[in-house]
Amino acid sequence: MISDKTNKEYCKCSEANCYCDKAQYNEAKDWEKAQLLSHLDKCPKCKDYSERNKKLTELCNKAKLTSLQEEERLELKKLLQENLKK
Amino acid sequence: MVKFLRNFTANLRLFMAENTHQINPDRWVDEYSDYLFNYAIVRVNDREIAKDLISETFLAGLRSKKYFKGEATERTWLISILKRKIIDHYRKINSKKGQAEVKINYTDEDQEGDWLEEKVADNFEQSAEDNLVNNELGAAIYDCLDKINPKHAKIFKMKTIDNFDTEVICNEFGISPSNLWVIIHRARTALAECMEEKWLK
Repeated sequence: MISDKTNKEYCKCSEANCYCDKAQYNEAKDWEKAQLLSHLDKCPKCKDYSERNKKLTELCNKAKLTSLQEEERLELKKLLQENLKK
Repeated sequence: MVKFLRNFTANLRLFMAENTHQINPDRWVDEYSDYLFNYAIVRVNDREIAKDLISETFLAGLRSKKYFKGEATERTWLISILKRKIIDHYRKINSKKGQAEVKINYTDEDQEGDWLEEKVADNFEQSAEDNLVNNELGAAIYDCLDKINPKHAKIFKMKTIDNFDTEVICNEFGISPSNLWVIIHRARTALAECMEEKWLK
C-alpha cells in the first residue's frame, strides 16, 4: 500500500479510490484515469478495491434497478393519505 | 406461585410486544415502494402496470392492516400481497388472451389446435432464469441498501439507479461534489461488504 502522506510521485489511495468511483459513472477525467492506472500498478489494496468496485457496477447494471420518480412517489402518498382517512 | 405466574405473563407480553413488527402505512412509500416496484417490474415488465400493482397492494394493505399480526416484517407482508396482485394480473390477461386466440385461429379445421403452439410458445424459458437471478440480485441490493446509512443509501440510489447529475444531487443535499464522492465511496464500500459473501466472490 502506498503511504498517503509520503509518496508524492503517485496520487493518494483516497484520491485513487475517488477516481475509481467516478470512473464507475463515466465521470473520471482523462488525467484522473491516468493517475488511477498508475496508482493501481503499485498498490494491491486499491487494485482489490477497484476490482470489487467494477464487479459492483456490473451487478447493479445486471439487476436493472429502477425506482419511482418523485411525482410517482407523491401520487402514491396522496392515495394512501386519502384512503387512510376513510 | 401466583405472583411468579403474573410476572412471567407480564414479561412474556413485554417480550412479544418488543419482538413483533409494527405496521405504519405512513412510511410505506418512503421505505418500501422502490423495493416493491423492482419486484413487480421484473415480473410484469411494464412500468405503468407495476405502478398500478403497487397502488393496489398498498390499498389492499390498508384494508387488511387489522389482520397484520407482526410475525413478519411489514415489507414481507406487503410483498405477499403484491405476489397475489401479480398472480391476479396474469390470470386476467391470460383469460383475455385465450379468448382472443380462439376467435382468431379457429377458422379452418385443418389448422385446429395449431394456435396452441403458435400463440402460447414464447421466450419464457430463455429469460426465466435471467429474470430470477436479476430479481434475486435486485432484492439483495435493496436489502443491503436498507442496512447502510440512510443518507448514503439515498444518494447512492439517486446517482446509480436514477442517474441524476452530480450537480443536482449536490444542490438537493446542500453538499459539495467532493462530499458527494466521499459519500458514494462509503456507500459503495458498505454495499460491497454486504454483498461480498454471495455476489462478489
